[in-house]
Amino acid sequence: MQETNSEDQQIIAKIKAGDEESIVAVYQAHRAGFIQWAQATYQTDEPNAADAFQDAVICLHHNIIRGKLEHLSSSLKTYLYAIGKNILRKKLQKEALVDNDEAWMIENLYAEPLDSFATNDRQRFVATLMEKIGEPCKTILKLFYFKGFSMRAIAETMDYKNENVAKTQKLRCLTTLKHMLRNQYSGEEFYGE
Amino acid sequence: MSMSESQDNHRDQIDRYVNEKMNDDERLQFEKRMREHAELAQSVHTHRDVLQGMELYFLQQLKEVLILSDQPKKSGMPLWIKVAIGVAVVGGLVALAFYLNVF
Repeated sequence: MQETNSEDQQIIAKIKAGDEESIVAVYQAHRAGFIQWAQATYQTDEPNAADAFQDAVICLHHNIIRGKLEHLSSSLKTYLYAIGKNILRKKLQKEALVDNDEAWMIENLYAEPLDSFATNDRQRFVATLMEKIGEPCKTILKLFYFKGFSMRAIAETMDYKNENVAKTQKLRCLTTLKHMLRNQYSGEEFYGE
Repeated sequence: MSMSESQDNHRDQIDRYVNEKMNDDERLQFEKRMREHAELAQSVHTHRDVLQGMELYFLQQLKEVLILSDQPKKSGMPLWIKVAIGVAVVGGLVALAFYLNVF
């Protein structure tokens, strides 16, 4: 196993702090190598390997933001390749191109293709609502739930008077989403709050 | 505790449960309440669907950013400068041809 280095830890810290450029830099740094390795190992084509690697980087982001990855026990490259390999194998298993005979797991590793992230139609519907909800909701919800910003940091970023204003606005946005979801699924039993 | 504080506390509990921020004791107690109160269980499901759907949207956006980063970078030169250079070059050539023919 490779030793972790402080540079990898710094990258994780930056991603956790919401720095999108760092996640793109990680993607670009390892993309070509992963695709070459995947093509040689699984005889898959480049678009398939690239798609799996994009999903791997997304899972890396998810694991960092959700606090499932704070300290690496291997290098970032090894971790990313492990996720990418699992995702690629799942994609190829779907297409019945590889046998389900191997697992290369790391503790707390979330490694799912993006298209299996949502587990029901209501979740997929909420994703479509995000295009309709507009600003400032989209930004506030992204900062809080996707980038892990505190309410105080959101208030500063959005130029609100204080964190209570940001908290109230976030609550309004969530309630709006829940109402839109309720309107769509009005035939079902629904409790928004 | 005021009504508003009680509602805040209720929402906060649901949010912490869905985001797996509760300790074991708190989680077991909360799950017991969910079994006893169908309305609470439904609120939890709704909150989970909204958070998961939101995250799906942001992850899709991130994937688009990654795909865009694969595109070759275009020259930073604005189009109007390229057009101006083109016009100047063509104009220069025309002027040169005219000059050579005339003299």
